[in-house]
Amino acid sequence: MDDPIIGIDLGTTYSAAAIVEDGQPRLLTRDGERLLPSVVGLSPQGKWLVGTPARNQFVFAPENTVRSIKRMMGSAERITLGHYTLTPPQISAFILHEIKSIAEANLRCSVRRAVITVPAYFSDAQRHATRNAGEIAGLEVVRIINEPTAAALAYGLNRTEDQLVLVYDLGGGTFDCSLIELVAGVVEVRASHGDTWLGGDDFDLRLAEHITRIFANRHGVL
Amino acid sequence: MSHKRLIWEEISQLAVQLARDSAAETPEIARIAEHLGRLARVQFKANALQEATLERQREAITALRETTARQEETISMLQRNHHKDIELARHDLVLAILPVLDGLEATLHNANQQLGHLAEGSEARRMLSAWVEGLWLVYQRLMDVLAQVDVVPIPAVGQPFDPHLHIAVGIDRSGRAPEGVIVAEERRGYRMRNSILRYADVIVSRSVPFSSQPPTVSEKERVRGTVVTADRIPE
Repeated sequence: MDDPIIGIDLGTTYSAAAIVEDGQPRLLTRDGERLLPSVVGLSPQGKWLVGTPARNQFVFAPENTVRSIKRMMGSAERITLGHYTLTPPQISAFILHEIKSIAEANLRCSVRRAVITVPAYFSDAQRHATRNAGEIAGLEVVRIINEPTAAALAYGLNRTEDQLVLVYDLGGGTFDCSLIELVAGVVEVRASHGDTWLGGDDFDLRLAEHITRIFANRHGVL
Repeated sequence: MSHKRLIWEEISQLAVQLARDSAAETPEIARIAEHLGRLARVQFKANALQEATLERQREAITALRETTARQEETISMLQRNHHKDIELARHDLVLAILPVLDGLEATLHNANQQLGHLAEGSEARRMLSAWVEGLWLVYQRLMDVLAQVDVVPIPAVGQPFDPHLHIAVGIDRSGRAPEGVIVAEERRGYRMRNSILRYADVIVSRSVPFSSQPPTVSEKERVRGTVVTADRIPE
């Protein structure tokens, strides 16, 4: 494949990459894993960790592990990891760089270009920060696409009749709902809203708490 | 046109010429020349036919070679896919077996604890001990089967914490082990050849206190640490 363009979902809790082949998107995997935890860390030995290893050390070294960096994109926050002080785009760049490596291993060619999705409510500053992250990771960001728009395109809704579609996006850390309009193949986000602090992780946490409570009551422990 | 066909073409033309030149004076030579001309044309046609046949044979051989190469490629791809499918099925099967193994380990652990509560030499202790021994053999047999497909446990307790092998699910502040060393294993991890089947859930020794806050400082508070330039990620 010559100079492919990959699509990247740079998520709050997980990220993923895909390539369109014969009109169909295919997720790019590593060791059978389709999702990369959006976590970056610095190991006690001073090695950079991205994805699962970074997530694995969170409990042991939370001060050297960054999660949910997407929530800080576009802000003036700085993240200190060991002796490094990094911007949110630099942290995101670690994740994008890892995705680039995964894509190159899958496609067996150099990957230089990408399309990255962002929430429809992302401001210009947040979009700019995302583009910047891609460039730091060595990717030419050919387009920034709204996540609900990407979902509509993936389902081929732009090839059907003109319509209004409600896209429900329940991620690991965030939840959004977007109303999008499809007219003559053009996709436009009419409205988008959600909760940036609600996602599948919260469901997991509530379930874990519920089960723990039942267990504690039944066995008189904790 | 081949060299052989050119020669016969020339002989044919010479025979026609000879027949024409000698027709009046020596009719016998003219007849022989005419006959030679006919034979030359027949030979010419035979050569042309042979060349066409050879060409078709060459094309057929090339097509056969291409088909054979494609077949070999397909067989190779099928073998690779077959191998991948087997690996995937084996991976899924082993993953499904791991909770059974966890259950066996927990049972053995609890049974050993119970043994400690039973009086030495009692009938109950003797029976439980025999039962534990039998269960231990079953467990060992299962581990041997897994080892045959290159599934091995990930070393944990006493090892330095390695995020590529272990998941830290808790920390231990007792100071009974050096910093960063695993003091307990909550759930055993397994690897299959070079890949991780399941990370080991571990408790890691840590005496250095850490902030409960995420590793973030505001722009104003950024007074320490190495500032990395914004256009690159650190090596």
